[in-house]
Amino acid sequence: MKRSQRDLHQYDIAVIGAGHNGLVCAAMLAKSGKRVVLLEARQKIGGLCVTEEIAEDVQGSVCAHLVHGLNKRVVSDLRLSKHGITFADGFQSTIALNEDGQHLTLTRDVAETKNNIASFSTSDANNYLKFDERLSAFARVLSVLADEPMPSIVHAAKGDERQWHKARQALAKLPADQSADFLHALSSSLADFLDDYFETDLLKGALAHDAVMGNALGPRSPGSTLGLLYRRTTELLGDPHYFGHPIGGIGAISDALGKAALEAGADIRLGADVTGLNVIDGSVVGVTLEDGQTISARAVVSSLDPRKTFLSLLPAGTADLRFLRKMRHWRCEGAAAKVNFALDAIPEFVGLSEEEVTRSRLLICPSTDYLEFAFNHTKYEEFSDYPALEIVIPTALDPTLAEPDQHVMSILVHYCPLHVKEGWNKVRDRFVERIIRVLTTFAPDIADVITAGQVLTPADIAQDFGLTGGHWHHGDLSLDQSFFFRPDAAAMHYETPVPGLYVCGAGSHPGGSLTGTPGHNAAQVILTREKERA
Amino acid sequence: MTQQVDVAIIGAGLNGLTAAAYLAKGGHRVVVLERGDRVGGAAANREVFPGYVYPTAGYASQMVHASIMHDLELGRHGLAFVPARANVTLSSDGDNLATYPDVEKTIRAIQHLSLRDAEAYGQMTVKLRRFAAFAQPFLEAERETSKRRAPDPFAPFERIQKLVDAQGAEEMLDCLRWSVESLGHALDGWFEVPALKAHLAGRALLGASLGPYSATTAPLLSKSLGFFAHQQSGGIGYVRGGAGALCESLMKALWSYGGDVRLEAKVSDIRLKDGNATGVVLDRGDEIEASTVVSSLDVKQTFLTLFDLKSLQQTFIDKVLKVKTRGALGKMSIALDALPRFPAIPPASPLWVGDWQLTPTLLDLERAFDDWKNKIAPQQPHIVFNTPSVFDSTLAPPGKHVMLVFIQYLTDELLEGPWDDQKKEALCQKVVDQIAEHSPGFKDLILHTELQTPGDLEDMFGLSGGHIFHGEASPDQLLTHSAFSNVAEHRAPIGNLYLCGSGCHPAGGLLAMSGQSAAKVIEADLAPRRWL
Amino acid sequence: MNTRPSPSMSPTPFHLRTARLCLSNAWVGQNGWTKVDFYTDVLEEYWALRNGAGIHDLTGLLHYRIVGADASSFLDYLTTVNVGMMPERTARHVLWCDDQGHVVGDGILYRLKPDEFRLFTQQSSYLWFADASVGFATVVEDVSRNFGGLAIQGPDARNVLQAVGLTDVAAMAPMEVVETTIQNVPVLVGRVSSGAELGYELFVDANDAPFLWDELAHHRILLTSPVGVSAFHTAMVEAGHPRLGFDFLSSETTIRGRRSVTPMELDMNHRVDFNKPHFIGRRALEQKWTAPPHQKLCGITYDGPGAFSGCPIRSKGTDVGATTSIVWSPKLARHVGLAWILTSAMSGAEPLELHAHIADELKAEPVSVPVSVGPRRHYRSATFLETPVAVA
Repeated sequence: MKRSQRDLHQYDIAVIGAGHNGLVCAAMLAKSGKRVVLLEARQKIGGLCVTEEIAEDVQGSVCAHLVHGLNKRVVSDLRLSKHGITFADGFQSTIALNEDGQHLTLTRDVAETKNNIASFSTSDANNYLKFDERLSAFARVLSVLADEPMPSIVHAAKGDERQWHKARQALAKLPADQSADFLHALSSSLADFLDDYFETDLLKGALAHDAVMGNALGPRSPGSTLGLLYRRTTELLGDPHYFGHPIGGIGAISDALGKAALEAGADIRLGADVTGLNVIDGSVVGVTLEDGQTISARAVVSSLDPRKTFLSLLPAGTADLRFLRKMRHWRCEGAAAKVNFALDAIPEFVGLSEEEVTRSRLLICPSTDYLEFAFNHTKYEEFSDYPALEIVIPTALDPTLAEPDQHVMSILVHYCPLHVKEGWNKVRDRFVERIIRVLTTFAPDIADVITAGQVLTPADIAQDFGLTGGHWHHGDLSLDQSFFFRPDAAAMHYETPVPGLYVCGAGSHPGGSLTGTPGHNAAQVILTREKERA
Repeated sequence: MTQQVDVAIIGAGLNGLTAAAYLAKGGHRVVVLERGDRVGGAAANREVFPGYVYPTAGYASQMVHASIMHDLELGRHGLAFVPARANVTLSSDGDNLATYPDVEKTIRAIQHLSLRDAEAYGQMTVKLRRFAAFAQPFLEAERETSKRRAPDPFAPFERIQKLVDAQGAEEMLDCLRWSVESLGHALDGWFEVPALKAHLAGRALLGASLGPYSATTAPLLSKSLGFFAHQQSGGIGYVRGGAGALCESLMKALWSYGGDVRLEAKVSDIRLKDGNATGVVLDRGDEIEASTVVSSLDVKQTFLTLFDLKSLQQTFIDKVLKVKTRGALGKMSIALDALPRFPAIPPASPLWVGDWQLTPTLLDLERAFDDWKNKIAPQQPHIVFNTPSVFDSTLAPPGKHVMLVFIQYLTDELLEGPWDDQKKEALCQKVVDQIAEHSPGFKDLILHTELQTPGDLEDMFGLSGGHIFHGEASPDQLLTHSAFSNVAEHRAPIGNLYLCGSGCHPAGGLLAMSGQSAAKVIEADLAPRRWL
Repeated sequence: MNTRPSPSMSPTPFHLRTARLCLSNAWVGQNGWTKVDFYTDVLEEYWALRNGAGIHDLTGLLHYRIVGADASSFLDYLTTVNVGMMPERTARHVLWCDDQGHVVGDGILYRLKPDEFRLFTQQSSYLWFADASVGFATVVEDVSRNFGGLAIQGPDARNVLQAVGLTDVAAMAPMEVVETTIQNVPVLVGRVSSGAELGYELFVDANDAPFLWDELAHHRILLTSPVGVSAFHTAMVEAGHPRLGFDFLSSETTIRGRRSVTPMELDMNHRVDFNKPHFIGRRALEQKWTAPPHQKLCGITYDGPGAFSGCPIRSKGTDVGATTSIVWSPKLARHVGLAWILTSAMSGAEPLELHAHIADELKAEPVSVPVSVGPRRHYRSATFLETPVAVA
């Protein structure tokens, strides 16, 4: 009886979306012997982690461009090292640019960074050690929660109790006054939190930038410190060797994950745009593609954003109303843009050597106020004249991307609204002009070396990558959309209220960034359920 | 000259007087020391323009809790309340949107705008009641624990576990989320009529240093609509005679229990001996020995101005410095020659007994907040105003009126230099223009105006940052109060010293609850230990 | 100029007629409408319902119109009953639940056409309906203010309707619905009765409401009388129909989640049909289905001195339940009503007692009355189900 039922389905599991989380999930499931198909709407795997042509004969990391927290378990379970990822020997440090040419270099080496800060402020330098230690301690608590499905506090099962116990123990390791600061840190705003430690605007600006990355949150929003803790958590859980710019661009990570999935036996179908989930007797039993083809599977895993999964793919009348109401209120309006320039020379930056320019991540975010002011505009469907920029010029270290005399400048722009009043088509050029103007302050001849450019506003990302709102993390990483609420208490364990449907994208616990953690966690849950079923 | 008392209380504000009256009633020798020439602290009334009384605080707020009313016999001492009848938003098309204390009545009022929103309003109030039940254990803090141990940040979650059993799991998680949501997003989820959303948020955010779309602002709505359990008694309203009258009645209560108030007695120092407070020194040189010292000033004022900083631990001073007190509320008082005419509201309408607003959308509120954040004068100020002389004849000569205008999101740290008369005049003009848009001939009625920025409030009343709630009511300060767990429970980290200001549990608003709760803690500590 | 009126109770479309007859001047509010509590004497009105024909102004019920190609599948998703199988021109009592299987509301659903329905309920659920209908080709409209409704109940109800020219009602079976006319005025008639009596509900355009009233009054035959809320409610309690907002609460309005109830606790398992596509709360109900409910809304009767709503019911001194609606039943000559009782206490092994205090001069005397617990339906008239055989 069981056997014949099994045979009714073409696959055990269909995974929708071959972004990194979809790839990780599919590979993990296939590795455990499941018949898995991975369906990707685009002609290429990778989702936002792709290397594509950004100008004629120039390749670049179109969206995401740096790695800093690919989960260790993903790396080891899928033996990624076997699939040929090498990292550029650089991008280990961040240089926060200052208009006066007095830049600040931040590295993963705390002592070195401390010394660098000392030339700005001795008290900040001293506090940096305390800050770093505390941040890591808090992140260790969160990493207990992040590296597994979120433990319930209601209907708590044995596993949940164990996990809470672990989190508590991690907290108990902190000195008493610091453990008290943990909730304070979670609920305070970045600006306030950083003000408690530092006086140097440049340092605070750089730290704040990394914390809000991709989210529609300003550093003055309460709860934005969560972003700082989250980033440190991903770094703790991440493989320290997978850091910086992968040779071949960010797509190299996706390619390696894809190879791991194929090797494990998963089918990957490109150009397979899923337009609906097929439901029989209330359970999801497969998907329908744009061309009308159906693919049946005993379970479907969506790595797409929650709104797309539950409001557009799931047929009306399949999920309960309170749950749907919450999905309708899920906030995923993108707030970051990506701009990629093709250059015919490496631009000169005031106060930086060429080596520094080509081997570092450059940040233009001189203060938390600068960042907050940039954010103000997005609320009113405007873009700021002074956006914060994260700049990487990887081509000097990665010859695979372009001819020797060609270069790529990859820029992450904060903030950028999903909609602008005038419509993006009318103001896209002005948007790029503003960015070039900001760049000119630091690299006066930048305009002369730009040969071509590519802009991806949240609206473009939404359209090109099928991401609701064009939000990099599938939804703001805010207190009301994290932990129990990512995407909702009823789906925080990757199982959804609809039988046969799972989620594994950045919109699920613990959240976004190139970590593979949601995909990996989801695969564990699905395998457990499969075992129980058998 | 040395005086000896049991309890010396610094500051004759609402909470100081309340704590004093309770302790005096409990049989202790109490003296309240007020630096000003009258009682009232931040809540004192002043006659700035002849014949007109400008109550300092005075938007419709929580009435004093029934238990305080009863315990201190305030009714007998002359306290009277005028319950608020409605809150109104006037729209530019000459119409008005009103909500009422009664939920059913409000629902029927909203039905004219949107059936959907009317029903959503009813369900929102259910949500707020659920949330109040959820928040109760957090607000109650750890009052029962007298041990001074480091708080366990997971402790509130243990209480949540109990709530799960009482409330049901899903409802409890909803509440948890509500507590960290932004008010704007929450209202966008409930309602479709922009004016209704701005109407609810515009009052809820009064005094807050956060914008409608700042996370964690949703619970402010529960407070402004009076849904918290400790607010359930009394409702929302105005004190007859202004807030000063409330202080007067508290002072009378204090006297009746044998307590004393010394005016123009500015405390310059708190005396310490072996790490314990032993009394206070006045700036004119008098000393008062007291076995217990209570400060009704805010945390910053207490520790940074009343102590020799060398006697405090640096880590503690750091924490005090970190307390956020960025004031955001300014106030304008206007003396009027006659009742202004508002075509949207007839002269005898009960809607006059309420707070009025003009801001039409949440984004307008957010812009006003951005100006505050950006440290510039409000370009389009968000105002909440009322005409208390309509329902309180003690404030103005017959036929004349006093209008109070609260300007939410008024920064004191202007980038272009401090507030001067010229800038104040320009802002007053802006506010008057706004009101005049809805009231033809309004400008001709104005006899006198006075603008108080948060800085003026700081100077006048010794409020750090001019923050009327003695510190921002953000959750990192309010619910977890991690930096000051014990302070939040009134005990300062110095023996025999207590705090009772409105920054303490249960925080904010004209409630006098902090004073009551401080008195209870002090009373318990003073009670002779019973040995078994 | 000020256009917005201060919110107050609205008169019903029958107000000019009912106000003249309301000699008691006793009014009650329901969902924003002013209704007659009783006209002159509750007992007189009650007996009119049971012995002749009583006319009751139904305004205050919320009236929804649900139309569209997906109306039937939307209602199947919304409610726990099988709407797809519902024949045209019939009515049903339906429940709708939330994700946890807790009852959000209940009402009477009329199916007029394959894709047109009317839904009548005691408490507004508009927001719930509107949100649930997203994705379905259907429109949900609150038409409460567009219609006037009257209930006519009693053994003579059919005769009265035939007398005003509604000949088609003669053959109407219980829960049957027809769209017909009186003197060319369209009327929607359903043989629906909440008082377990022969009864009909009639709905006309609000402008035709006075006409409908006058027609029924003009052709009034013996013992036909207007009936206020009190007597109508008495008949409802006798019939054992729980009222939303009184006997149980919508899970959208409970303050404490634990006060929400399931269909099983309401003893309405027969209103839940799993042989249909997914509906809201289905999975939760499937899970809870087999577990015996913790408590149940039961019928209780007792002989005693007064009608005690909201009083504890005890077994051997411990509280095992509480009364909701209690009325004096003239027909049964006892107090009858509804009460929430723990299932563990319903075995019948231990006698149950109702506890109350009766104020007597200066002291309040505690009283204990033995109660018997049973099905909710206390009374049903023989005429309730009877339909005369149509004459060929």
